Amino acid sequence: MALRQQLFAGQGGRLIARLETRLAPTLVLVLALVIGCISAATSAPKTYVTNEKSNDISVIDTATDKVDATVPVGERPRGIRLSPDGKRVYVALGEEDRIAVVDTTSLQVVDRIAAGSDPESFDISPDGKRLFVSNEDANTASVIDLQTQQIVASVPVGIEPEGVTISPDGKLVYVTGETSHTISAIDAAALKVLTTILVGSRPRESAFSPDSQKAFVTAEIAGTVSVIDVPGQRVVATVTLEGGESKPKGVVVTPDGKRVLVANGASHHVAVIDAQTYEVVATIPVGRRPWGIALTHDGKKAYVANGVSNDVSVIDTATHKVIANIPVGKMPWGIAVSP
Amino acid sequence: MKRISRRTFLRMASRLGVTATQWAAVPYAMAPSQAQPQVPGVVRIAHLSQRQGDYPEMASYAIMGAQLGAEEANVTAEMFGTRVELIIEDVTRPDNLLPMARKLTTQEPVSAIIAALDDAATAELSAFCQQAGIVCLNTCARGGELRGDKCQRLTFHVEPDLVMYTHAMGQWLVQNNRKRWQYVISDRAFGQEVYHWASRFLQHQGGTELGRWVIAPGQADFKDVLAHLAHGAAEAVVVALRGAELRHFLEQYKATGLNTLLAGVPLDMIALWQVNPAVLQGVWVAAWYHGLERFSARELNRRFSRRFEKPAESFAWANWAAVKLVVEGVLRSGHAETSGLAAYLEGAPPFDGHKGKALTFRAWNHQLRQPLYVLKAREDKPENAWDLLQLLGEVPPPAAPSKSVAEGLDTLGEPKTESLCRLEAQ
Repeated sequence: MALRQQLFAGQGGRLIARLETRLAPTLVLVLALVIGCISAATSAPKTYVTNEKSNDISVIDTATDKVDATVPVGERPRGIRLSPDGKRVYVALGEEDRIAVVDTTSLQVVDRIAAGSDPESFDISPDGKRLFVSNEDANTASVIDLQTQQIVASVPVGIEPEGVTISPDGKLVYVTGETSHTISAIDAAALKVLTTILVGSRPRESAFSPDSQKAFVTAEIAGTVSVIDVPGQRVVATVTLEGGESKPKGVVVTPDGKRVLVANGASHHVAVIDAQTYEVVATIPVGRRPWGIALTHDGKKAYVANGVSNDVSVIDTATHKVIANIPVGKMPWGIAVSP
Repeated sequence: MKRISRRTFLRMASRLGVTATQWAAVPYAMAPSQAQPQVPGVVRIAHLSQRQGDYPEMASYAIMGAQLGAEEANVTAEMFGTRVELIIEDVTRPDNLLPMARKLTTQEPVSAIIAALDDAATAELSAFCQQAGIVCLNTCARGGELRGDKCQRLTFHVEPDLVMYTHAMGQWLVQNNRKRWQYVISDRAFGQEVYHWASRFLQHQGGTELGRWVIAPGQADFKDVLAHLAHGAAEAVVVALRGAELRHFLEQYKATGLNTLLAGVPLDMIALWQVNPAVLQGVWVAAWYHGLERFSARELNRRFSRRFEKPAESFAWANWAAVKLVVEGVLRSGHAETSGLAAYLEGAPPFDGHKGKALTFRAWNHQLRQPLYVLKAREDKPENAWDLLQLLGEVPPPAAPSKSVAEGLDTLGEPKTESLCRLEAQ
């Protein structure tokens, strides 16, 4: 009824009444379509952004590219991941040694999981049962059973572990060691390190190709992306970005496996790398200090958290153009898009 | 001992697949794009300091830094099937130095020698290492000669030189519109060198020198100096003193109530920890400070203080960095011997010193490029005996425009065009 009143506001009442009688079936159809569109818009995937300094997350509607809601979560939110079903958002709270769990329907913090000292980055297994988190001070990766919220294993990894990524097939967990310049490849079932791979100086994050055959690792100080042959467990190529001056951090691979997008924190660009030739095919100017980056599940848009300009750049991945800049909270850091 | 000529050096490097024309770039660039090279079973590093010398505390912090570096490097090394052995030696007398170094290079030879020594001993060891064909890393000596006419191809300087410290303080003062300076400098070599570089810098910036007072070693009475300073109308007093002279000066400066900004070059944190906090004032330039937090400095500082229950300072940082540089070089190049290691270090590998920038050695004098920090005496009462200073800024500023990180960092230090070092001739 409210919608109808809005649509008809300002019209002549009698004429409308007559039209309403004659065109009733058509109007019902139009109304149904309008309501359907609105409904579709509200159920579009959401992008969740952690704001490190304002201690909240911004929720962006990917249909409108506007902030729908801002949810206070706790002190120093950085790493962020969604449960595979999209019903929960997990947020690492560095100052609280916890991972906050946000219900994506009510947008309320419904739980806070103990996660060791200063949690920063983590990932969730494809079955949604386990959470792997890096413990920077302890040089370990902790494995948390999400049902019992107990640590079931603590795996020694490199020094100053940071980025945690699980391969799409769920078999491997890559943990970057920032000070040891390593990737520790953990068997996700046995919870043991299979091998350690030396990569560029200060590795931050990694991303797997959809078939789990390749991994791409950003190295902040080296200014490079190391390409790892996952079955061979070795570096097969190194891509130097912007002469090594770019401080790459966030990295994602498009769902078709053809492109790798890298957030270059120092140069305020997103680099697009051909995942086969390892050549940089585009450099896209975004906001200041792009850090976290995530793709919609269809791969058509990339969302980039710009830590210094306090906004999120939205990239059309087909045209390599920024199509929106969305103001968010203070110092946006991590980013995740719902299914 | 056999001297390694440039020709031999290049020939050895060529066995690694490095051509002369690729010299500068290839060693690092090739490493990560290849499978992990085979590494030797043990990486042996010698560390020489003077625990009985004039600066025993400096040696103590240098050793702690090297120990932490070795322990961290061992975590990484063990992942690749090797281990790091740090051999810590105390040079009890100057005439012990060369016999000790000779022994280290003949019995179970080391990959590198870390020199946590004063300028004279470092120069002697550097020359020896060149003759013996061993990589030497200088972690404490700041003198310009070591990077100038006494430079050696196999010596790499992790510790910043006095030019860098002086330029850093100069840049900060000029950025803060302080271009009228007085000087209170030690009559020792380091004081004269600071004055040399500071006066050149000030002249280049169009500033004004309002007076210079040279302090004799052991001088304890600063009455005359302070009287002159009181009438100088300066915007900064550049202070280059050490030890007891520094302590006496600060005490008497405070007592006079003068308030012209003191600009200490360089910061000797160990000496300042011995000063009464109540008399400490001014700004100081350092290569490291335990209160740094950005770029994972906080994590490194935490690791150090947890390990030793003391805060890290500049000498500790330099020695931590030196060990890490050697071990990274061995792991990435697969070579623990001089040719491979030296080629790696000369190849400008981007070293992560927790300073937020890629640190690389300058090709023309093997000085490690790095940002420095300007700190000021706390205005509030320090909570403990360590936290006497607080960070004012990084030099060069992180956002300063430059074509590259290296170009920005090269605003600190002697430019290639003025360097007396001729590495290419060695």
